[in-house]
Amino acid sequence: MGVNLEISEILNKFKLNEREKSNLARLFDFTNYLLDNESNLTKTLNLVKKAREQLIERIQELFEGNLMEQEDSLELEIEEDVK
Amino acid sequence: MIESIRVKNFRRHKDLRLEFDEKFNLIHGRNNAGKSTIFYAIEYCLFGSVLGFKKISQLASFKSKDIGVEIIFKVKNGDQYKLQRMHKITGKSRSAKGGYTLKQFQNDSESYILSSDFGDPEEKLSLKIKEIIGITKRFFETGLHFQQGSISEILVGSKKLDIVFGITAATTLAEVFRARALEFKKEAKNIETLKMTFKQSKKDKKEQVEKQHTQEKKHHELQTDIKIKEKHLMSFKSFKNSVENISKYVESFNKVTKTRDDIKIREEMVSKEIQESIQKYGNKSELSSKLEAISKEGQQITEKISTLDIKTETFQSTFRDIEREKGDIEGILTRREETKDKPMCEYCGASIDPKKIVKEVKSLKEKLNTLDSMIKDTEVKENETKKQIEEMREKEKESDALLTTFKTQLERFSELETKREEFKKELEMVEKGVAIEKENLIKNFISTRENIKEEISKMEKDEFANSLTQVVEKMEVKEKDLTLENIVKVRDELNELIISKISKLTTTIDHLSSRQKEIKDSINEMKDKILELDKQIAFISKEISYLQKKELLSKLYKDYQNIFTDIQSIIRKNASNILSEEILDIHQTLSSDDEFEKISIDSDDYSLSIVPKGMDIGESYPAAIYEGGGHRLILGLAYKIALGKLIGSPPFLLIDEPTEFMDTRNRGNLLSNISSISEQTQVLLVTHQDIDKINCEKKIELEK
Repeated sequence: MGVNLEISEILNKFKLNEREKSNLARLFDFTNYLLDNESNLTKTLNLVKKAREQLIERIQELFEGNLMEQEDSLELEIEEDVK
Repeated sequence: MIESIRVKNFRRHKDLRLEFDEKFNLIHGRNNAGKSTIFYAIEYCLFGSVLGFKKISQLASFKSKDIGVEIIFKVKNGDQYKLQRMHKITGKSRSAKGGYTLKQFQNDSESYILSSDFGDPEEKLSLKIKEIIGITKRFFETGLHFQQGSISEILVGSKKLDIVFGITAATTLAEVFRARALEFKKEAKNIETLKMTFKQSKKDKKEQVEKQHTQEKKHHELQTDIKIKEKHLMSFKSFKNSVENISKYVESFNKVTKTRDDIKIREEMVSKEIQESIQKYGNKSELSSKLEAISKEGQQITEKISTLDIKTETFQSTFRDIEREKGDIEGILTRREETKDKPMCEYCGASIDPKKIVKEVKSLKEKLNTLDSMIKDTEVKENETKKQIEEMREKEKESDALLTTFKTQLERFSELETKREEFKKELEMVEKGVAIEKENLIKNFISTRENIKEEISKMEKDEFANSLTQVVEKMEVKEKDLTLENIVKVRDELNELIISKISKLTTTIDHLSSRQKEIKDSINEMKDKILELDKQIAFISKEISYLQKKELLSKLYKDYQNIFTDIQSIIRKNASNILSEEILDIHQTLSSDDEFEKISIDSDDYSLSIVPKGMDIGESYPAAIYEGGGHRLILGLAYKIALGKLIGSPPFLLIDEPTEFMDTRNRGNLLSNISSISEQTQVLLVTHQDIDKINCEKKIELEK
C-alpha cells in the first residue's frame, strides 16, 4: 500500500510498542491473505468459520501463547496483599 | 517489473517464453491468440489461482497432465526473483496438486527463498509477495489487472474494495478482538471471588503453619525433656549396675568367707576327732607302742594255739591207737564168741582149751574196759585242750580286732593330721582371698560412692538427688569401719532408691513419649492440611494468574478492537481522498478532453461521482451513468490506475483491450497517453487495434 494506507504507517499513530506494532501488522497481512481467497469468504464477504478459526489461532500464537506460558509474577502481588 | 514469463500447457500455450521491456509492452495478435492468457498466467504464477476460474484444470491445455508458469521479475530495490509454479492434473476429475518455488538471483546464482517442496505454505509466499512487490491477490485483481470489458464496472464502486484497502481486514480484526475481549472478560469475572478464596487459603495456611510451629516447639521441648530423662535413666541404670556390682562383690566376698568358714569347720572337726582319738587311744607314739604290744601278744597266742593243736593231734593219735586196739580186742572177742563151742587156733586150727579161752576172754574184756577208760581220759583231755584252743582263738581274735582297730586308728590319725595340715594351708589361702575380696568390695563400694557423688553434682537438685545424697552420706564411712553389714544395708537402700527412680523415670518417659507421639500425629495432620492448602493455593494461584492474563488480554484486545475500528475510518478516509485526487489527475492524463471540474469517491461504496466542467460544484453525477461508453472506459481506467497508485508506484499494469467501444480519436489518444504512464510503471497492454500507431518499447505478437 502507499504511504497513506500502509498498515505499519497507520499503526504508528497508536500508542503501541514495536512488538505490538509488528504483531498487529503481521496479523493484518494474514487477515488480508485470508480475505484474498474467495473460498474463505461468505456471501456477505465475511470470513467463513474455518478461516476465522485460523485467524483466532494466529491471534493466539502472536498474543496469547507467550503470555500464557509466562511464569506467574501476578501471584506475588496477591501474596503481598496477604502479608 | 516482470522481465520474462514462460508458460507451459497453460490454456492454449503449450510452451511459450516471452521477455518484456521495463516500460511499455504491447501484446497483440488475432482473436484467440492467447493474449489475455498471459495475464492469467501471471496471476496464476503469483497467487496460485485465477479470478473467474474455479479449477486449475480449467487453465490447463486440453488433455495436458501438468501446467506450469515461471516469471522472472525485478523489484524496486533491484533484487531479481524467479517464481515457478506448477500443478499436476490427475484422474477423471482432473484434480490438481501443485507447488511453487521462489528463488532470488544473487551474483549469477540462484538461492531458494521459499518452496512448497520445503513445506513453506502458500501463505508465506503470499506474504512475501506483499513484502517485496507490495501487492495482494485482491489488489492485483482490482488495481493491476484490467480485464477486458470490465474496466468501467469499477465506476459503480465495489464492496470488495474494502478488502483491497484492508478495511475488511480491520473490521474483521476489530470484531474478532471484540469477541475475544468479551469472552475473556466473561471468563475473568470470577477473579475477585478467587482472590478472596486465595487470601483466605493463605490465611488458613498461615494459621496452620503457626500452629504447626507451636506444636513443633512443644515436640522439640518434649524431645529435649525425654533426652534428659533418658540420660538420667541411663545414669540410674549405671548406678543400678554399680549397685549390682557391689552385690557381686558382696556375693563374692560371702562366697569366699563361706568357703573359709567351711574349711574352718572341717578343720575343727578334724582337730576334734584327733583330740578324741588321743583321748581314746593316746597320742600317736602311745598308739604305736600299744600296737606293738598287742602284736606281740597276738604272736604268743598263736604260738600257744599251735602247741595246743599239736597236743590235740597227739590225743587224737592216742585215741586212734586205743580205738584200733579196742577194735582188735573186740574182733578177737567176737571170734571167741563164735568159736566158744569149739575153740581152735586161728592160725593152725588146733583146738584150744576152752578154759584158756575163758581166761583169755576175761583178760581181753578187762583190757577192753581199760581201753574204754583210756578213751574216756583221752577224750576228756582232748576236750580240755580244745577248750583251751578255743579260748586262745578267742583271745587271738580279740587281739587281731584290737590290732586292726589300732592300725586303723593309727592310719586315721595320720590321715587326720594330713587333713588338718591341708586345711590349715587352705585356710591360709582362703584368708588371703577373703582379704582380697574385702579389699575389692571396699574399693568398689568407694568407687561407686564417688561415681554417684559425681553424678549427683551434675544432677538437678530435686527430691531424688536429696535422697541419693543422704544415702551417699551413709557411704561416707572410714574404710576401717566398713562392714559387710553396712555395705549391704547401704546397697539395699541405694538399690531401692534407684529402682524406684528408674521405675518413675520409665513411667515419665513413657508418658512423655506418648504425648510426643500425639503431638507428632497432630503435626503430621497439620502438614497434610498445609499440603492440601498449598495444593489449593497453587491451583487457585494458577487459576487467578490464568484469569488475570485473560483479563489483561481482554483489556488489550479491547484496545486492539478500538485501534482496528479507528484504522477502518483512517483507511477509508485516506483511500477516498487519495483516489479522488488521483483519478482526476490520471483522467486528465489519459483523456484528451479536460471534462471534469471535480471527481469524488463515495467512502461507503467507492462509487465514482463526477462534476463536469461548467456545472455547479455541488451538482455531481454518478460516473456510471455518465454519457458515452468511451468516457466511462477512460474514467474506469483512471480509477483502476489510481487504485494501482495506492501502493505508490505499482510494479506493473496489465491492461487488456482498454480501447474497446472507443472512437478512433479517443483510442489513439488513450494509447498514446498510456505510454506516458509507462514512464513510471511497466505496462503490458493487450490489444489488436491500431497496433502500428502505438508507440511502445516492445511489441510481442502472439500467433494463433
